Amino acid sequence: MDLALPAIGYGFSIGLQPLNVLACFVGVFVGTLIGVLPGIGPVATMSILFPVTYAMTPTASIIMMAGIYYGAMYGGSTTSILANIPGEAASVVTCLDGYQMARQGLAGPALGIAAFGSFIAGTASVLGIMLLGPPLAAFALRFGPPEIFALLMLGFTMVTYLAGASKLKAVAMALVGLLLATVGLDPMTATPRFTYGTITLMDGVGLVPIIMGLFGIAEVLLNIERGVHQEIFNAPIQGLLPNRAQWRASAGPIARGSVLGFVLGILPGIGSIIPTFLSYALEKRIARHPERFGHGAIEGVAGPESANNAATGGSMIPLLTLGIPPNVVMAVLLGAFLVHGIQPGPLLVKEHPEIFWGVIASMYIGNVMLLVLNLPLIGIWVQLLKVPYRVLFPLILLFCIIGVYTVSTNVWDIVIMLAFGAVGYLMKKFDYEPMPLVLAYVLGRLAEESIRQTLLVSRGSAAIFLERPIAAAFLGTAAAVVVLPIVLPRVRTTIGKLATIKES
Amino acid sequence: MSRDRIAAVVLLVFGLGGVLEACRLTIGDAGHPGPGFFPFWLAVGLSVVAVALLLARRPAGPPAVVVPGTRVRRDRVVLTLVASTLYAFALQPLGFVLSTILFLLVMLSAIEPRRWTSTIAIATATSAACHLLFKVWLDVQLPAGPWGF
Repeated sequence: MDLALPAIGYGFSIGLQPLNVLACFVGVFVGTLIGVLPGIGPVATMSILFPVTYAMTPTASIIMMAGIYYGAMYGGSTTSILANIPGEAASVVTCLDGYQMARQGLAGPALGIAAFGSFIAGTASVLGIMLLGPPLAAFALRFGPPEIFALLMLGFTMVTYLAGASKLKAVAMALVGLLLATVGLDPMTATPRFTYGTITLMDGVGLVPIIMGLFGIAEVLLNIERGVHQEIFNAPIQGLLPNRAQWRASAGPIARGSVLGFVLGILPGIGSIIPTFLSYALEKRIARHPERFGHGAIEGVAGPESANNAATGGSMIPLLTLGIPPNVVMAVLLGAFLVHGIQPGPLLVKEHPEIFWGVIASMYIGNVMLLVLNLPLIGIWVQLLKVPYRVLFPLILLFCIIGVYTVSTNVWDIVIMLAFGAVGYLMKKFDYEPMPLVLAYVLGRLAEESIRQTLLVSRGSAAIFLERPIAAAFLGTAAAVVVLPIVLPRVRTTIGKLATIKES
Repeated sequence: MSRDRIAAVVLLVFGLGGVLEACRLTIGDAGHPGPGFFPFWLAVGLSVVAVALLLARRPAGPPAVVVPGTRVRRDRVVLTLVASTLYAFALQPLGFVLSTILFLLVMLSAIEPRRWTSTIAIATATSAACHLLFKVWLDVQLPAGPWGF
């Protein structure tokens, strides 16, 4: 703690530099904008703005990228409350009670508590990063290739086991992602692999075309196929400041949502969506009148909105201290680091304190900006919701194409992006999730290097993973993640049976 | 063949293809892993998982959710992909502004046809705005046609 205080002061001195303040502003503004607009999420937007960050300093570009993410979390709630459409996947739950509040003439307090809850949770998670980040980074300094590989295995296991319906499908996607990462020059011997003599594939399949294809293009394809309905709540919004009773009702949900979101956000594969569902379920369970939920309970807005913002902060921890992105948004952020030749990880605090502390301080500044900006600007965001989709979707498509082209000025990268767009569309149709694929792709190089270095050191023996305690602990945890869900229900039923036997 | 099976077969083909291709590289052994080592075992793993997916006997999943009153327009998906691909290859010969106008004309009239005048106006204005925003203001490299824009 005695170290963290001057450090965060230093962070503010970086974060308050005019250029960084501007980057932060652009980030949170654009983030709110796309958060409000349904159909385009933070991942696609960060990818589109990727080329713009080339010309910026590393610190400013990371500040802007992070701003887009937590700005989107703010903006998503506005659409949920006013239009009953989640502007962002993480705001799905907010629709339940937020829209009901709006219909009862309480749109103002609903928007207000969402913004305040997000602010409080965002601030709390910044404090959490400040306290947890450096010790975790110091611990991670002891990692060698075996530990890194074991940690990656733990990450992959978590991602596949938390991802969704079919674990086998998630494993398949992770393997496809790892295979994609091997395209290009071999990192150790520089042998070209799977390039078929093309220059485009020499550097590997680009991260930006893959992500924009799987998320941006696929999303547009899915939307234009359906023809989405646009319906906006059209009543004047009054009294954004919640009253005392509303505050009292929301204080607990905001506090619980913050802790829940932050802790879950750190875990790989969770993202910012699951915490919102858990927070809603938690508030409903402990509420004195659970029947109010779904009919405009302010707790149902305050809790989940706090949880998704806290999760945003929590998910920065594994990226900044271990160099391992826990979700796709952080994977794009990792890409932004790598473009500037910086490898985030345990050494980041020491080697680039200006980035580590500057970004953390900027997140606090950004949260203040969002609060100050968003409440008065809500009228403008509402107008934005009226942009017709028939114009919006071609524009998103156009921005994706321009974005990819400007990264490499290579037409083939557009083709690769469109191919991944088609793949992403089909994956959605066949119930495959893109998340394990992208994460595996991003971490593939690191995974390959660490396993090959490990094997070289150990002369091909896998026993090295068990001889090193940290690596063994990671693999043990991974094994527990796999085995426990299978074993636990059985243990529970066995105990239940024993109990009934005893009773009888 | 069920949808799940089709997907599994595609993955299996991908996996086996990966095994064959990786064999053309130096695989080495566990003590001396070569460039083909990691891809080879990944492709083997993928093939195994694909076979498991193929054999997995799973109950027929819930039918795809269809919102009543909406029609699934698969033709629009194909059209979008074709138009975007053509746009990609038209960028350099035709230049950014002209190819973008053409692309937007196709896309705007494909999604929800309106009067031609408004479609042309939106396409032209958007294209010009992007030219100003990206090329003039942000100084991003965009291809110029034979006429300089």
